[in-house]
Amino acid sequence: MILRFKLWFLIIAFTIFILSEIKPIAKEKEPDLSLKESQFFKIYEKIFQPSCAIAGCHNGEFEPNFTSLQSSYNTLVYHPVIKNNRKDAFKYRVVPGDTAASVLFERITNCCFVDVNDRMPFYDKDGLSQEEISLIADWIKNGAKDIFGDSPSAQFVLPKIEQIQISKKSKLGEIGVVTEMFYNELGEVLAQSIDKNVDSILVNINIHQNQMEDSQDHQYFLQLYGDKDYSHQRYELPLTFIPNTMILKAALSGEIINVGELLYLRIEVKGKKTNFSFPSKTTLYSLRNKWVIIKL
Amino acid sequence: MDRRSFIANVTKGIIVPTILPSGILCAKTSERKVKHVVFCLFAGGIRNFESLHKSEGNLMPYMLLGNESISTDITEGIEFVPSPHSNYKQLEKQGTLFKEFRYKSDETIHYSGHAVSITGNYKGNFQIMKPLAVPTVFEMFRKHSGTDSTALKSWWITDQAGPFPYLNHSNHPEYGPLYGANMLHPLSLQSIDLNKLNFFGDETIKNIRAIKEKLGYNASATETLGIINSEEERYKLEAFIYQLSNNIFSKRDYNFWGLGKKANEDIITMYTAAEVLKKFQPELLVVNMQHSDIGHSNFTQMCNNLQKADYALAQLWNTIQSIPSMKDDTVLIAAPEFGRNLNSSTVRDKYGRLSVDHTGDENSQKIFCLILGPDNLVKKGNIINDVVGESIDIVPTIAELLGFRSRVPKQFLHGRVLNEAFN
Repeated sequence: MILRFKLWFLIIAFTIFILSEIKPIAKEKEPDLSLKESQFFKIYEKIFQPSCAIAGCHNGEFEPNFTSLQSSYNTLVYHPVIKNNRKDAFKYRVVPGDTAASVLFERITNCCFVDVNDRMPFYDKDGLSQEEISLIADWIKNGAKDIFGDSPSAQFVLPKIEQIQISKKSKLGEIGVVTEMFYNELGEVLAQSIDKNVDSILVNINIHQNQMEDSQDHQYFLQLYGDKDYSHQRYELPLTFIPNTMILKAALSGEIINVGELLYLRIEVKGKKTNFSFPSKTTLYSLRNKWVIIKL
Repeated sequence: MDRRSFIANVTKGIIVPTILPSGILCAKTSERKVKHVVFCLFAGGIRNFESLHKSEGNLMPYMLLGNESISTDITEGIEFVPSPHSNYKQLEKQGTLFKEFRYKSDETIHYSGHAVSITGNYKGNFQIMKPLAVPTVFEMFRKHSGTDSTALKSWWITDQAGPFPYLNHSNHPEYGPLYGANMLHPLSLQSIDLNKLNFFGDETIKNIRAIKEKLGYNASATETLGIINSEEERYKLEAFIYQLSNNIFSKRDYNFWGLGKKANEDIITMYTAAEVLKKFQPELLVVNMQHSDIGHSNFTQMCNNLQKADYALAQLWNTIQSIPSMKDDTVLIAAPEFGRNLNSSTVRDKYGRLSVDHTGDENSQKIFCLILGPDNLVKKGNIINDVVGESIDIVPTIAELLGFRSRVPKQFLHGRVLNEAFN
């Protein structure tokens, strides 16, 4: 009887000890402000999403890609123009602080950028209202801040994400979001999704080779923002390079992170932030009830 | 709730049992020319330069005579479809080709272009994501055809979601969803596995919405879909959707008329239309293709997609000819919604070719129209080079062929019958 009691005592004590040793490496930060209050969120919600992210237009078919907040921002700010005017006058779609140099502003105000009657949004015969144009103009003049209120860094100062490779094994499923992520003992990030139709995913983030040398001196954090109601759950995960590679991976942990619906990923380097884009028409894929691997 | 009951409930939200809508069951049908009309919106903005004029070679060898080779500088960017056999009779020889057809509007917005063709009206004040204000050809057909024209007999098959599913009916008070067509957005079937959906418990509502969305409806915009089918027809539809989803779209290497992985969105959409024809033999089916619209950013890819669209149209016609009940009783009409500008734009593709937009210039209003049909009805090898025919003539022509034109109120028919095509 006493022996059995001692055995139970030992098991409970050991469990308490183990639990006390587990420390989450993912750290939730308090939100700085409601994302919905940001200028860019309002522009996205009022203009880009209803008037531009239309089938056959900027819904991933043609750039800029207005399918999500993240894709909109990333394919606008300091993003090189693809379609220029006949004088080749523009370099970027949005140049923070400078509407005249921003082709976005030109496209919504000029009737005849390349041809007559090519003002955007093309579907809106009367064009944007003065109020809507002012909203975009003010955002650009105020520095084209992202939804977190951060000013974009000058282009190419931060390491450029050369590639995010997302592969999936299922032919089904175009929509899927990662809802949970954790690390295994190999340092791999594991993720779970509500999407049932995809067998696995694999994400590699490669840093641009030319910036490798400089990049090695920086500290990297992967930031995950989640939740359907934009309640701004944020987690930061330290990233390190796999030796002799340009591939970043997350640090070792066994902590499970639930970010709700994953909205936004970005990498912070030495206090500066860079946003990265997924290839157009792509979201993260994974499988319900199975852990799948995202290598970082 | 068992599976069958659930599906009955789910589809109730999509397709509701009905009575016959027309109320003109005893109307005369004697003037009807054919039992079936298939209208292919050969859309995406097709410029006559690349199509009829063969400026890059004959990119449409199934429609057009001639073996002009493709421009060598873009050949590498073309995923060639199988060539027609040497004894193949090109579609222009099998029917009437209007080479100077017109879309007489400078509003070259794809949705508006589609709406013009489907309503026969340039001035419908078409707005995206809102129901049409003027009746569609589907509603005219179902209301005035004088037969038991259930929704199963009229189909709108769209290659894109967004506003395009709205084209299956208007909200006109005298027409509306009661007379609308069944709508299918085939590409959405690729991303849904109906068998794997959890049809029970808390996820039911979510899945109803998912099915609606996957069928191409914008669930957030319209909770009531309104298209009417009988209970028996609902089961047929449901079985058909399952068949498509599980037998075709779940197979990664599905053949798609011999194209396999070369099959693009247009091919898949047209292939699905062919499956609908085989399964239901609808009396009126409208299907569109618009992936040549890539020409805004990639000229060579536009040419690539144009030759695939040509192939798809020929395969659709072959399918019609393979269905005994449709073979000699179907007219196929094919026309772009509009063309593209005379001048190139500024985006250069990897082969050095400049993109082409459509912003309503005179050239973007120049298109073609092909009409195929039974020998005793449609003139063969009939090439019309005069500026004859326009987009709004297609609806009256369909109405004439299906025998209900005289019963459509005149304010809804703005064009004329394309009599030049018929014996």
